[in-house]
Amino acid sequence: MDILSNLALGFQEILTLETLSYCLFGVTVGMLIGVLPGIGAMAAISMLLPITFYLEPGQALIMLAGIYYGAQYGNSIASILLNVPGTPSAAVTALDGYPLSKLGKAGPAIFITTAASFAGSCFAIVCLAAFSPIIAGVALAFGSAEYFALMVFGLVTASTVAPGSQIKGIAMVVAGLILGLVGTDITSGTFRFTFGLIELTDGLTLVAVAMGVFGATEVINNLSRKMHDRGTARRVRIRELIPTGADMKQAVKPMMRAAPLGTFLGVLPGAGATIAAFVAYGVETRVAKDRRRFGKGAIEGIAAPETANNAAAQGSFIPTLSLGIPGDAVMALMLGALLIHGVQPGPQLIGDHPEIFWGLLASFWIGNLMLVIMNIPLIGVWVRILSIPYKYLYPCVLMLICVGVYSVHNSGFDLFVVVAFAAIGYAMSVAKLSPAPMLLGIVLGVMMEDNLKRAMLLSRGDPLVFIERPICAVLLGLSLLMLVWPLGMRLVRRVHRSGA
Amino acid sequence: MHAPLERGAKGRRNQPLGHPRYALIAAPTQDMDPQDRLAPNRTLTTRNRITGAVIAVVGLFVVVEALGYGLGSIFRLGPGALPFALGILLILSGALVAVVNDDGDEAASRIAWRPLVAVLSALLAFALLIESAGLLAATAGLVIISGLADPDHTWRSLGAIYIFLVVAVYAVFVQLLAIPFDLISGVL
Repeated sequence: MDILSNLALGFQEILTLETLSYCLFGVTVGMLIGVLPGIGAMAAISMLLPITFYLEPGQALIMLAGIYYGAQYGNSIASILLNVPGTPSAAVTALDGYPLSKLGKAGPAIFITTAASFAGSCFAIVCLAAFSPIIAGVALAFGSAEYFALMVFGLVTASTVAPGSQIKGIAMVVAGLILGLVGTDITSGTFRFTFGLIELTDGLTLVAVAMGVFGATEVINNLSRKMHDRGTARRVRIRELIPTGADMKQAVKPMMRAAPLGTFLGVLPGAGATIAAFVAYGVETRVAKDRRRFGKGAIEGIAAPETANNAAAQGSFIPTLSLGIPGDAVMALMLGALLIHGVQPGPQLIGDHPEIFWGLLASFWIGNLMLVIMNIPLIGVWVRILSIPYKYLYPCVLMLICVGVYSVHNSGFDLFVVVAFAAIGYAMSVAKLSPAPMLLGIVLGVMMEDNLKRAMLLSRGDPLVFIERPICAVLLGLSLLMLVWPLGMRLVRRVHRSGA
Repeated sequence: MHAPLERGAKGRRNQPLGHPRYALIAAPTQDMDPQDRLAPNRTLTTRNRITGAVIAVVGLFVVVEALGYGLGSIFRLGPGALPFALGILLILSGALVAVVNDDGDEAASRIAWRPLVAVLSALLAFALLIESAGLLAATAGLVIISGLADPDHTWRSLGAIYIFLVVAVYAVFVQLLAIPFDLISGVL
């Protein structure tokens, strides 16, 4: 078998003490950085980039990649325990992860997250190994119109992600898109919604918005519920940290649905991993018998997005390595690391440097295994954070928010953004408006506009282009279906109820 | 297989769902204030009216702003085109929010003024002090003001939190991650 011999080459390449220790170093740093909100993989990778000058190109890439997916693991921990998500995809995990931890199931939640991440990564790695060239071809078939349609689909799914009212979900998505457009318009240079503030010309810092609407708002809500007497010191036994058989069983099907979804979406350059988490969560709420469980601690609600998000994180290496197209800033940095060593990314990379490509794939597997082994004993430590009385915990959470946000751009202005969005976030929570769909809107705002403009330019202003292209039409059709379905169902139910 | 699952679905919102075993380790989890459940759903309807109106007004503002940026043509969309369309969507969805109540079994919650004001001022204090006065002062502002949110705090408990935070942040963020915080602005 071709794949087997390729993977064998990969494992042969990395099974040296030196390479393994770089991999271990990468995933450990990534995980720890991921736990701290604000300082994302991006900052960690830029800090460690100079070190990689002294390494082999393969080892450098393995270490940097380790930081990247290690941070994906770490991210979910702060969202589950404290509702402080550092990234939009972690915000999806927080939707059900945080309620689970309020129910005393933080341990099982983190365990399932770990298992889901591992499963998602493994699936994606196998796909990468088997179909890398084919998948790369699919990514190339996506033009501006298709990207626009995909984003519409992602946003529609995101609007259904919100617990409660779907109309409010849509309003939040739209509000998010507008917030995403704040800053300088790329094509014309026009300042939009900046109100004369120079700091806003670069746009809103996503982490600052997320910390305000999630973290700070949650602190206010918890204080109003007099949560501080909640965590009386109690002994947590190992057995209580591990999910029950029923929990695991509940997590299996969502993982199986989310893994291929995440892998596929991850391949598309752009916001693949983020859209993947939202769509996977949205799919679960559609498939589930009772949608109302979501947002209140549904196991599926953490298993699916975590699987998808990690599968996508691995999947995003395909366009980066095989096409030389970086999906996001982190991937661009990785390409930079390869270029420094004189390795040219692109379609010829797999042929010219098989040891780098297959070695990296093999390292994903080893690195993910390391993360699982490291994480399971750590669950007990993480959960103990919750036994700190809330009275002591909340000033620390606020401090973590401030320092984390400041560290993104070393910008004091971002802290004022946090204050503003803490106020907005609290108003939203009083009005029962869910902040998660808004975050995806912010992420996609500029990207969506860019693709829309390009699609219209290429089609010479003909909007029919979105219906004529098959992938496009299918995606937009699915979006419409997702919009109409729940509204229709609700109407049917209402008629049914009033009839009974 | 679905037994614990359905129990959670049917049970009231602040009943622990899942395996009964967790009920033992779950300290009394209060999903919401007891007063919340007493709040009549009429409150939420009124709130939805206000929410919808606010959303629509924001939408209107966006539309007006967008017109100023220039809409361009369908062939070459201008900087105002997408904001204009989104603003219209926002107005429409605001109107729908005000009219349709599809929140399901959600109940309105009361506004918690004390924690709200304390937390916002604490964050604001940190934002104002971090660059002008440094980490020591900003942390003090954050800790003392946020302490006002919880009447149980004493100077001693706040002092302990303050010392812990300064040491932890200095060690992790300043030393380890090289985030350029000054302990005292311009001095250290």
